[in-house]
Amino acid sequence: MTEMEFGRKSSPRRVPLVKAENIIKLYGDNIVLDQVDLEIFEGDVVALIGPSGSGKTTLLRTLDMLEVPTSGSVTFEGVDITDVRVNLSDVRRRMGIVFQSYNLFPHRTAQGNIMLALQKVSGLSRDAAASRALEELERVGLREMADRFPGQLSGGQQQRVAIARALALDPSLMLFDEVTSALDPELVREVLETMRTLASNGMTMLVVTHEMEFARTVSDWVVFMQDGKIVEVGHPDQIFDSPKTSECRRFVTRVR
Amino acid sequence: MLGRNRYRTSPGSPPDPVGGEADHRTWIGLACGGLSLTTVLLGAVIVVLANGAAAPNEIARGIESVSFKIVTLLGAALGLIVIMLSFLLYRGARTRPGRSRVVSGAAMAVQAVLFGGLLYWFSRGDVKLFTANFLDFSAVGPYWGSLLNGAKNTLIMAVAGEALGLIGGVFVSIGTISQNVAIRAPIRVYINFFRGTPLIWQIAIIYFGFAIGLRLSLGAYTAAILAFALFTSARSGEVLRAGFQSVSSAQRDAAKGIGLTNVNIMRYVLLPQVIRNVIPPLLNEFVGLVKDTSLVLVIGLTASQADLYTSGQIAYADTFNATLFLCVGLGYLVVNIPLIWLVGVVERHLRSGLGGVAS
Repeated sequence: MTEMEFGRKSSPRRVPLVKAENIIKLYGDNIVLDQVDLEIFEGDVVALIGPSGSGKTTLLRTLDMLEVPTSGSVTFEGVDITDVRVNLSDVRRRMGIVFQSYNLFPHRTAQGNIMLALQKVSGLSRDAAASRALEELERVGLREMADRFPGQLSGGQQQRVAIARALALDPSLMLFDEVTSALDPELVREVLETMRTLASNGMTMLVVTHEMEFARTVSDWVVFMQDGKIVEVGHPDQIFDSPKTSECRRFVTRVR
Repeated sequence: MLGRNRYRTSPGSPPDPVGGEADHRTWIGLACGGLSLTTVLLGAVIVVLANGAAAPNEIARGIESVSFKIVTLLGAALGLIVIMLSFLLYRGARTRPGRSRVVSGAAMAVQAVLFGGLLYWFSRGDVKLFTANFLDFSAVGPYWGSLLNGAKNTLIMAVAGEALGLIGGVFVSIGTISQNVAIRAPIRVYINFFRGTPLIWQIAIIYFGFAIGLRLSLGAYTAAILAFALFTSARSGEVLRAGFQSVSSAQRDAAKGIGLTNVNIMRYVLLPQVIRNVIPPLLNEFVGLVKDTSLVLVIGLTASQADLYTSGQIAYADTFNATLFLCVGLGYLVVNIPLIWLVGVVERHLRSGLGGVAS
């Protein structure tokens, strides 16, 4: 898995923005991640696909240190963030993460959700945070929903607020964890549209997804995982049209 | 014949789910049930008032009168008839509202039978002795002040105990959700000890034990508050722990994900949600504590320090009149009924959603 030429689309000398090396994650005797290596370069959109239970979500959460790997290291912007001495809140403000179940704070309005990080992490004043939060809502097309509580928003709107909340801190990397899986089919499009715009503006993204069409059209690289291992990496067309491994071929034909 | 009557289950007319025609007969059940209960309750009150209900012997005269016996028996008998009638009316009802009217009438009839029977039984007992002992409000007059003072002390002890206990409870709950067993184990022992022993015993042990074992003379009042605080710490700690666990770990993930520090996660994400979730159970705890202050009886407070219950006890020892005790019970109700009502209001508000916490 080490001969990954994946990510070198323009200059071969670029340093990866985030690099996971030899990640092993055990839950008891269960091997969830089995010696996984992954590099993501700045500006790349990487789709992580594979059958459920293959370790995609765990790998994504490991990059944000929401899961602590049993062994292996994660280097983000040149810093090994698995080191206990690293201040994780400083690391996480540089990454945005969006979850399958939105996870908005139910006691705060849409605007209040976004303001919290701006005030407490970026140290903005209340007024500055408020107007910045409105700008972020504007970007996802929900400015008029600023005063609504999460319970008053549709799933798609909640997820767009969650994206705005993650974007508010100007992260250099965005992690999307099956963000459309909990949505009604007619709401999926608005969320994917938001992510598409983000990708075309050059955001570096890792997207765990079951939306194969999205993976195919938006991503620069597709990573296929199965049984805790990365089985195949390639350009979308190659992965979907002529997969090299039998596992990947089986998966791709099944989801098509 | 197929069609409408195919699913008929009772021999009467089939219930009409739409309720096209008014179900006139069911009103009879409701009216007669109401009449039986009114006869018993209102009749009894009117008879007593008509005999002049100022002094205990006047109340006794009213209860022992023939008209009191007639009214209660009549109401009870009417209730019995309504109960039997209701079975027929229920089967014959054509609409769902009609059926529920019959049930309401029958429920009131049952109450009429119970209360009518009980009051009749009571009117044949030693009514004079009872009213002289329990309904002699002239005996309360001289002790009014000391009962009020008792109520004040009860509230002070309950509020102080609850306030200190809540502060303790926050630390206890954080201890119980700690990943570290060296922190969690002693907190568990503390909680189980205070939940597993009677409060009355805790009060005694703290009062006498501190005085003798630690040569620390706390005074009964302080010892009582300390006991309530320690007890409440354990109880509210458990309530708060449940509150913390009711906020999903996903909220913690989201808060970490935007780079909040642990202190800020606690303060701005977890606590606001926890507090909303635990207000009703904590209010219930407080209602319990108000009543439990009566247990300070075991450590012999002076009259000026006495709680409501002890004040009643002291006054009873002077007068041997149980009317004072009756008033003590009313005193607890005066404090607790509004609190119980408040629990209901808060719960409804939280469930109605706005700003409420989803699971």
